[in-house]
Amino acid sequence: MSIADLQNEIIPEVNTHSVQTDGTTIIAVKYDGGILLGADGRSANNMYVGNKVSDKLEPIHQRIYCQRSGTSSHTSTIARYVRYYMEIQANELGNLPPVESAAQVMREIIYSNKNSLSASMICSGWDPYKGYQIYQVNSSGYFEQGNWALSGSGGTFIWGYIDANYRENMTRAECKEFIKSCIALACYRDSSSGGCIRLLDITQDRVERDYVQYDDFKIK
Amino acid sequence: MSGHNCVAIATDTRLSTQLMTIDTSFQRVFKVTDSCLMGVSGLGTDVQTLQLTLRSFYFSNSLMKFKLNLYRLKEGRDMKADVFSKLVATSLYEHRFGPYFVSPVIAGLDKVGENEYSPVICTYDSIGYREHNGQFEVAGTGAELLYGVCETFYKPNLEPEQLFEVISNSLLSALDRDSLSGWGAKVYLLTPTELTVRSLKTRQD
Amino acid sequence: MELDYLKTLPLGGFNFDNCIRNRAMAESGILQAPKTMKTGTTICGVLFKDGVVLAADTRATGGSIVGDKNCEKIHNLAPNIFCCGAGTAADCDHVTEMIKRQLELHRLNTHSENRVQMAALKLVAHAFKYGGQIGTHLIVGGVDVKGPQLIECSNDGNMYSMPYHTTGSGSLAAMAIMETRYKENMTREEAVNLCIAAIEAGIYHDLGSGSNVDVCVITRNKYEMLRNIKHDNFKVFSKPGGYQFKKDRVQVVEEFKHKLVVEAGEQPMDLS
Repeated sequence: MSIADLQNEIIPEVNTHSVQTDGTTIIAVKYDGGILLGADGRSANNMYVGNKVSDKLEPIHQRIYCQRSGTSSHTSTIARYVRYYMEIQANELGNLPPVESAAQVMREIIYSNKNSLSASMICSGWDPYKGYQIYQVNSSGYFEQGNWALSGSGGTFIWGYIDANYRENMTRAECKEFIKSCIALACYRDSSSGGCIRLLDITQDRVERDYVQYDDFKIK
Repeated sequence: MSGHNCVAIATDTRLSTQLMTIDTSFQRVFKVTDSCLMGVSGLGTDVQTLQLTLRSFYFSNSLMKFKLNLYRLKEGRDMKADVFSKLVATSLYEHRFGPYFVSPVIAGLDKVGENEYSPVICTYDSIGYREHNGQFEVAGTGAELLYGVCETFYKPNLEPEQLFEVISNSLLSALDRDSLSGWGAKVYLLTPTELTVRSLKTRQD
Repeated sequence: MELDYLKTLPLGGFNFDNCIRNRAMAESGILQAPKTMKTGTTICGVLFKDGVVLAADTRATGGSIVGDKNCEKIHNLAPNIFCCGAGTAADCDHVTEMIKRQLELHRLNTHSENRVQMAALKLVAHAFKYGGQIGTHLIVGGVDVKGPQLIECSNDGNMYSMPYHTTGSGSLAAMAIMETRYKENMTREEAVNLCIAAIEAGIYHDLGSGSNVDVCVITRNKYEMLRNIKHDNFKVFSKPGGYQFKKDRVQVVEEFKHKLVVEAGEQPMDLS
């Protein structure tokens, strides 16, 4: 009998606290000469906001970052595994690892454990082989590449906004404003997104973080 | 309960299936080493599995007896009461997800100097949380009743005979109000040189 | 001395032998599993200018009974790392003890100070392995090469770091105090007082928390354990001189005496 069976059937209920989930809005957008990642900062146990400045942008390698949504313990553990595999691959290559590898490892972990994991993640970054890339893996293990990616509970509220306002080859400043307004709008309508906005800019040469306080949200 | 250079365990002797009495002289308290006593309350089968008995050949496969003998073989000395109390905690915690339905009580004396002994008094929940405050500990169906009387009757640094009186009165008062306990009581009084076991007269119902 | 038999014994880990039996008993209504001890706790931690303050209440509950009025919830993990535990009491005790051993071995192997991050990661990895079934909600605090650190590790294997944390059933009351009174770069005095206020909020407004306040202050190369720094809830009632009992109240039916051999002090460990 496996541990999972035991947990479900035999062991009396011992788990008193609900799990912490990132009821999230995360978004990644390609612009002219880089990628901008954005995330809100709320992590909640049901009704209680456990952390209002949580960091959902996790480094995988020097130019690869992932964004997490779902059960935060699951996603941070997945990120930890991906980080480990990418470190090995980078050592073997003697060069930056491909973003696609990171995304594929992530997909493999999520797909092969999809019954016990709740995780939907975006993996994006730059590598010398294919340039800037954004990959998304949803909780069933479905994998896709695109010019932008959106995930989390708050995403539902801003699909239309993105469809209407996204343009290819935006400048960096335009893209930043676009992402800020996306997340601010999502936080406004989604009860499980909020807190703050965390931004991360990945270009070939550098990675730069930015932070917007809740008071500075602009909805219009 | 602990006193000055002495400890004691008091217990009733009833074993029952829910409300039906099946044994009126069930032995719950056992001598672990010459300096340590263990009383186990809870499910009868688990009590016997876990504990060691004076007739060791009879339950030679018991869990704690085995570990204790192994320690004696390896180290060439008896386990100290404090060490034993931690061993019980880890043994219970090993069964974290399928616990034995027991709550043991341990009373022992560890030598700390010339004619100075520190009492070890502790109790556990079924998954091995070790509770110890050095004064008194209670366990079993009458635990809630015992908390009250022990809290009032207990005085620190009692001499053996005074300790016997306090612990007996505490137990008898609680037995009066616990329908699941009864049918006689036994008090085990341990001093560095002597173990005294006394049967008390109680209500027989 | 080597006994072959010993090699066949299981080495550590959990034992699931009783699971099926216990379920069968619960289902047929013979016996329900006994209640286990919960800390039912308020614990908190705060970063200040040159260290970390951890604080906890001292009540352990089993159902509505207070099992332990003055238990210790601040556990030592390493000389520079401490941790407050909330949740299932047995889990907190044994998991922290286990991690403490691992850290000590690491310290001896590498001749270096443990990092707080490492302690937290070990706790989280253990918790995650059991999918939240192990009820440990911990606040780990310490000072290492990277300075003062404070990390919260929950039972489902999640960890995050903030300048102040509260956990346990009284966490909401304590968080209210933290949110209003926390400021950056506090002095040691201010931080200790803030922690005491937060825990007292838990003690007085949460039924699961109670008794006294324990505080632990960790600074570089030094820690200070202030046990029962506030003790407004000690036992106050006692009859002066204690109770006297009637002699005939206790009637001894039978007596049995067993002489014990007095052993001469501590015996050396046989290492041959």
